[in-house]
Amino acid sequence: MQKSEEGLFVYWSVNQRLTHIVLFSAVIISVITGIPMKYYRLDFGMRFFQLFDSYIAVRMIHNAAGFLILTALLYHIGSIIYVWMRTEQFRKVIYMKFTKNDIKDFANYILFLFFLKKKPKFGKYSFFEKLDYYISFILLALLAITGLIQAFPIIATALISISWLLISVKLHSSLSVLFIVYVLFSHMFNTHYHPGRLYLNTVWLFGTLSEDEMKKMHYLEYMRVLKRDVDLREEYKKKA
Amino acid sequence: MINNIFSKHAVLAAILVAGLLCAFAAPSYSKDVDDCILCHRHEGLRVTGADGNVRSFYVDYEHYKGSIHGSANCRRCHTSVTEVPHKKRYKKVNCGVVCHLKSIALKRSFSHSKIYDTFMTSSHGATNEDAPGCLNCHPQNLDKRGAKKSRLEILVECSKCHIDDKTMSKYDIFPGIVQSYENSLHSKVFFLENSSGAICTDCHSTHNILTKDEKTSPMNERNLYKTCAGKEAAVAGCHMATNPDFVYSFNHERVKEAGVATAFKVESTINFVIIALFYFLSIVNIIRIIRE
Ligand code: HEC
Ligand code: HEC
Ligand code: HEC
Ligand code: HEC
Ligand code: HEC
Repeated sequence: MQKSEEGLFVYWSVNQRLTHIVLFSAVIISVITGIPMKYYRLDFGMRFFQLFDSYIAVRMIHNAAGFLILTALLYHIGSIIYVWMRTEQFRKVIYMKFTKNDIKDFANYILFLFFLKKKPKFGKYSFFEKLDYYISFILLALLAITGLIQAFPIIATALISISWLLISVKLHSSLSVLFIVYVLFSHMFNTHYHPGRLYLNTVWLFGTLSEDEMKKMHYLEYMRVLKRDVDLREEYKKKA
Repeated sequence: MINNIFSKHAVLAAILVAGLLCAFAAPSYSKDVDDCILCHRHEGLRVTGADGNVRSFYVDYEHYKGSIHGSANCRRCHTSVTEVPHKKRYKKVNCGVVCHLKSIALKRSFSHSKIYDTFMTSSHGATNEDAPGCLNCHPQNLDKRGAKKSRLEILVECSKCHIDDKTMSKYDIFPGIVQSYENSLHSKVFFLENSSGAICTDCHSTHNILTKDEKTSPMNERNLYKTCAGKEAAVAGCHMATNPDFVYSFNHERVKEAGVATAFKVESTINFVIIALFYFLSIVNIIRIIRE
């Protein structure tokens, strides 16, 4: 992470932002088309399909969005591997790695909720955000796999038994709702509705955080960046 | 003068045409040759049966003439009514009788006997009181001309009986038939894509309905591929170029299989988790809002 010349902290790269935008757009499309497909017997489901006049068309849009999600997931893994191999610095500091500190933070946070301790200070990603990331990833991966099986039932049944086809139908349908509830109530809360935030969170769009926001939400990372800048400056001075 | 002659001829011609029309048209309307309407046109012709139900024997002749069977005389179908006035007891109409109207298309006497014979050898042909007769599914044929049941009406018709667990268990038929259909993708496509998803009769055929164990049943293992992915099915846009295993994917009794049973359990577990998660996160978020 870096501090830019305007005093803003670069939190996300262009690549990360693009992946995130593609991912959530595809997720929103597949939710809009998927929920009426799941609840098509209910009034709003029926009305949705009257609006579109075609189930097959809606299903095609849903499938296309699903492929986009799958692509985004694969691209994300690919870019991690790429960066891993290219930059040494990345291998040293993997922000998303779960550490012992996260467990400590978690315990301390619970104590904080019960007025027993001060709020723990977080790095670039708090344990909340790490959990959101991994759980969303796993759920999306499961949805993508079960969705693929349904999108190509004939190929799928040549490879796996028919009961797996039916199991994946059930899993896809119920996990999707789990995913929606999780994203709305955990991820959106942690990053967007969080009462501690000073400003509207625009990291997903501009990729930057202000200094006071950094201090408040990501204190450890803020300190690390400042210290590194000081170190670099000293190093530079020594060389000069 | 010219006018006068012309009008005279016109009147003559009109009378002639009208007469011809009457002469040729009348038979095709099937005059009441059997004299049945004489009595049966009275709306009051009704009898209270032993069970207390009122049965009306009123026949709306105008309506009857406009119906698909309007050109068949009463006695063609009611063969057991031999003299007029007739006896009280009579046999039920047999839809398989040969009707002596010449079918224009077939150039021979028309009859439903082929369907009738197929039907009588099918599962529904059983002579028990719960099995359907022709009229269960075709009441409209004594009604409007050419009225066809919509696909939804056919689906509802089959479901009416097969949803009834008590009757179905009498014949050792799996009770979850209709529910399993409703859970299937066929039903979803049916409801959402202009009734194009397969309904009962698309798979089971209309009159040759048999158990899957019967060799000639379309649902027999050996015929399954032909039914779902054969030539006719392909024309209807069903499962083209499918792998042979795929045709076994629909089965009303899937819920009995271990894998699918676990799938249902997993689904209800996840549903429980969703509700629990909803409440848990809501409460945690409220506490966090208070504290932060
Ligand atoms: C003289 C009047 C009369 C004539 C003519 C007549 N019917 Fe009837 N029909 C009756 C009456 C009365 C009943 C009710 C009988 C009863 O009490 O069950 C009846 C009942 C019937 C029934 C119902 C029988 C049942 O028990 O379900 C049929 C079918 C029927 N008629 C057909 C015919 C046909 C076909 C003709 C022409 C060939 C015809 N009828 C001519 C008076 C007549
Ligand atoms: C296409 C065959 C057909 C023709 C033609 C036909 N009927 Fe029927 N009719 C039936 C059938 C089927 C029933 C149902 C009862 C049964 O299965 O016997 C029935 C029932 C009846 C009943 C008894 C209704 C009841 O509730 O039981 C009467 C009365 C009757 N018909 C009169 C007539 C008269 C009068 C004509 C001529 C105008 C006529 N039918 C022509 C097939 C026919
Ligand atoms: C379980 C319900 C059921 C029963 C019982 C039944 N049918 Fe049908 N029948 C159907 C359906 C469904 C169709 C297709 C209707 C359509 O496409 O509009 C049909 C179509 C027909 C047709 C027109 C199409 C064709 O194949 O030529 C005739 C004629 C017919 N049935 C006669 C009979 C006769 C006769 C009987 C009694 C022996 C009978 N049906 C009993 C359900 C039934
Ligand atoms: C009037 C009620 C009724 C209607 C309507 C009806 N069924 Fe049936 N069906 C039965 C009964 C009763 C049996 C059992 C007959 C027997 O085994 O004696 C049966 C048997 C069957 C069987 C064979 C099951 C077996 O193991 O023998 C199939 C398949 C079936 N019906 C499908 C259908 C379809 C498809 C339709 C709609 C076109 C339909 N049924 C409409 C009452 C009905
Ligand atoms: C996609 C095709 C399909 C549709 C649609 C369908 N079935 Fe079936 N049905 C089957 C197959 C395949 C079997 C045999 C395997 C089994 O027992 O489940 C069967 C079996 C049955 C049986 C048991 C017969 C036996 O062999 O024991 C009944 C009764 C039945 N179906 C009724 C219905 C009814 C009623 C509907 C409409 C609500 C319907 N089916 C819709 C494919 C279908």
